[in-house]
Formats: sequence, structure tokens, C-alpha cells
Amino acid sequence: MKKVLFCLFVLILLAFKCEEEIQFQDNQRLLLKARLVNSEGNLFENIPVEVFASREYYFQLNDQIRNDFDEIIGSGSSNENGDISITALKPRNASNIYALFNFKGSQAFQSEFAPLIVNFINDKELRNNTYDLGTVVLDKVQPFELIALRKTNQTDTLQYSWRYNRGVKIEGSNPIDNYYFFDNDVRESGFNELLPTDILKENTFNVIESDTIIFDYQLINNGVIASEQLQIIVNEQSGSFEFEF
Amino acid sequence: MNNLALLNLSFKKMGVLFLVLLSYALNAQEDEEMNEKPGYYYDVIGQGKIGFLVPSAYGNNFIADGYDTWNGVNIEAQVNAGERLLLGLQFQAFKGRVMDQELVGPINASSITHFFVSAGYSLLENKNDFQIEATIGFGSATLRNERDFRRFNDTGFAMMASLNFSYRLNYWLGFYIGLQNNWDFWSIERPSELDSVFGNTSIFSPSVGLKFYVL
Repeated sequence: MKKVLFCLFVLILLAFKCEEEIQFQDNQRLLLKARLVNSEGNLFENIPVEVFASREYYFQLNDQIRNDFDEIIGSGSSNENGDISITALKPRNASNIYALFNFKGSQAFQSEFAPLIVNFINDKELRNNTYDLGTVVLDKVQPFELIALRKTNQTDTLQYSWRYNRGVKIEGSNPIDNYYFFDNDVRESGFNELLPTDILKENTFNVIESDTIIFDYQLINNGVIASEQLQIIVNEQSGSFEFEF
Repeated sequence: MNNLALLNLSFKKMGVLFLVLLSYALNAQEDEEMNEKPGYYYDVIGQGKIGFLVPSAYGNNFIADGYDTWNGVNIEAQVNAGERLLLGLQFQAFKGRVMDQELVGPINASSITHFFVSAGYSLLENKNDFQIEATIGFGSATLRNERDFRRFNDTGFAMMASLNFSYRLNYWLGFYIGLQNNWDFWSIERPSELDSVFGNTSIFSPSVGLKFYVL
């Protein structure tokens, strides 16, 4: 009787395990196509791409967690024309199919460009067993200077902080509307203050060229007398932003 | 120990078995030559073959370009349906490790099996110890793909043509060398761009082994 119960227990465990895992469809292959360019329209060669299927709606940024829950269904790299054409297995029970471009850990990873994640590929039109992502832009990672300058206000203390994407771009998402931005794996932040005796403070950090920096500040003089949140669009600045008060 | 290693080990065991049977058969032949029993050639109802398969995919397709194929096994059973006509069934199996996952997909390895219904014709009179048979057949091809511990299949229609050379050692045993080609037409749903890669495959699959006669 105990043996029977034990076997039943194992079978139930196996059933749950199988349900969790991505399963593949018989007699099916997919093709994922894209053309990789940078923001100036130049083509990328030999950029690594991995396509994952996940049972969850949101992918895992942590590599180890991702490998536990998500399943790689195809991989490849761009050719000399920047074209990507990846043969992939067709998952039976995926909630999300996503692709990682220029991911870290690969030998061909190009650190001057931000890793890019294209999410919910399975929501795109599947025509001729092909998901065509069209032109995909890889953004440069560039240094950005944040300057706080005291000009007219000689009495208040300025406290300010900034938040930005650490180095992973999620297609179609800015920090302001990005679910993942609340994840510490994605977000980077800093803090500084300008005392009444200080005139200038500068901070330099790397940002993604198409990104947005969230800048929060408050002026303090026996309590907070002013506060505001600004959105600094990196592309609209020339490598720096100066906050004067 | 992984499956490929186990398969390799089983081939070694089969090799030993082959040598033992061959030695026994040669001894038996000597005995029979001393006690001639003419006429036994005509009493064969059917024949079976078991042998080593040495498959080699060729052409521009996902098996030829994406797999490192291992040796396999060939098993056949045929009945005499006329003076020179043989009808039979054939099973072939071998394993391949995926070497180009970019081309094939993220699969670790696949077992490739063929099952054929065949018709053969003896080119020489069946009273000869040495025989040449030409055979054609059709059936199915199956790829049992392994991705970690998950499996899924690719299937297709298959055709074959072969030329078999055999030599009969005694009443019930001989050996053979088979030269066979398989053409597989896969039912894999795929983008038209991948038709040339996943549509058809060709595998040259010669085999060598023992031939058994059913009297």
C-alpha cells in the first residue's frame, strides 16, 4: 500500500513538473527574422541573439532564475548584412516568447551597446511560421554628465537623486512606464546634495542613448520648500544636463 | 552514462556476438561439407538480417549539416513470395548528436528511425550461396528529439533502395553487406525559407551483418 501511495505521489509530482516546463510541438519549426542596426543606421555583424519561451508573462532578468524557468528555443547571430534568421522550436505552452540581443556573457557581446530585450514576440503576427521583427535598433551606451549649479539661490540646500536603466534596454519601454524599472537588476540610481556653501556638483554615469533619466530634487531650508520630478530625455541633451537654481 | 555511450557499448557487445556466431557458423559449414545435403537451398521460407548500420547523411539539409551521426542497427525480415521475389519489413535506427543548434534548433540529440515495407528481387538463382538482391521500399522516418529530458518528434514519409550482397555459410546462417539509400520527406511545418533545409533528407546507410535463413 505504501509503495502504491509513493508511486502516486511521484506521478503527481511529475505531472506538476511537466506542466511547469515548456513543451515543444511535434513537426514544427519557427523562424525569427530581424535586421540589426544602430541609431545611425549602420548594420551590425556577429551580434548574438537568444530566443526564449517562458511560462510566465514577464521574463526573468536574473540569468540563473531565467534558466530555471524559461527555455531557450533558438539562438544565432547576425550576418555581415545585419540580418538575423534563427530557426526555433515551437513551444506548446508558452505565455511569452522573447529575444535577447547582444546579451552579456556571450563572447561576441559588445559592451558599447546596450543589451536589448524584445518581449512578447508571440503576440506579433505569425506568418508562414515566421516572426519578423523588422529593423531592430541597438542603442549605444554613452557617458552622461549631471551638473547641479548654484546661481541665484544662495540659502537653500539642494538634495537630488537620479534613476536610469543600468544597461538593459527593453524595447518600447522607458523607465517611466517600465515594469522592470522597479527591479534592482535593471535600475541604477544616485544621490547628491549641494550645501549653501557649495557652488557646483558633477556626476558622470553611463546611460543608454535612447533612455530617459528620472531626476528628483528638493530644496531644503528648515524643511522642504520645493520639490519636483524631471524627466531627462538623453537624446535631447548633448551628453549632459545642467540643473541651475 | 549517457544514451550515446550506452548505444556505443551495445555495439561492442553486438560485435562480440557477431564474432561468436560467425565462428560457430564456419565450424558448422565444415561439418556440413563433410555430410553433403544437396537441395536445402530450395527450402528457404524466409530470411532475416541483423547488422551494423553506418549511416551518412549527405546534401544540404539539417541532418547532413547539423548532426554528427553515430552507427546504428539494421534489422530486416523477408519472406519468399516467389522464386526470386522477397517481401519484407525493415527497421533501421541510429542516433545523432546535434552539432549545429543554430541550424537544427536547441536539441541535444535525436534518435533517427526508419521503418520500411519492402520488395526485393534476387538477381542470381537461389541455388547459389552467393546472392545479390535489389530491394525497394517505402515507410516512415521518425526523429525522436531530446532537449534535456523533454522529447518531441518529427515524422515523415520515407523511401529506400538497396543492393544486398550475401553469402550463405550453412543451412541457416550467412552474412551480408547492404548498400542502401534512404530518402526522407519530412512533415515538419516550417517557413518556406527552410524548405530546402527541412524538406527532404538523403541518408546513405550501408550495413554489414548476419543473415539468417528460415527453412
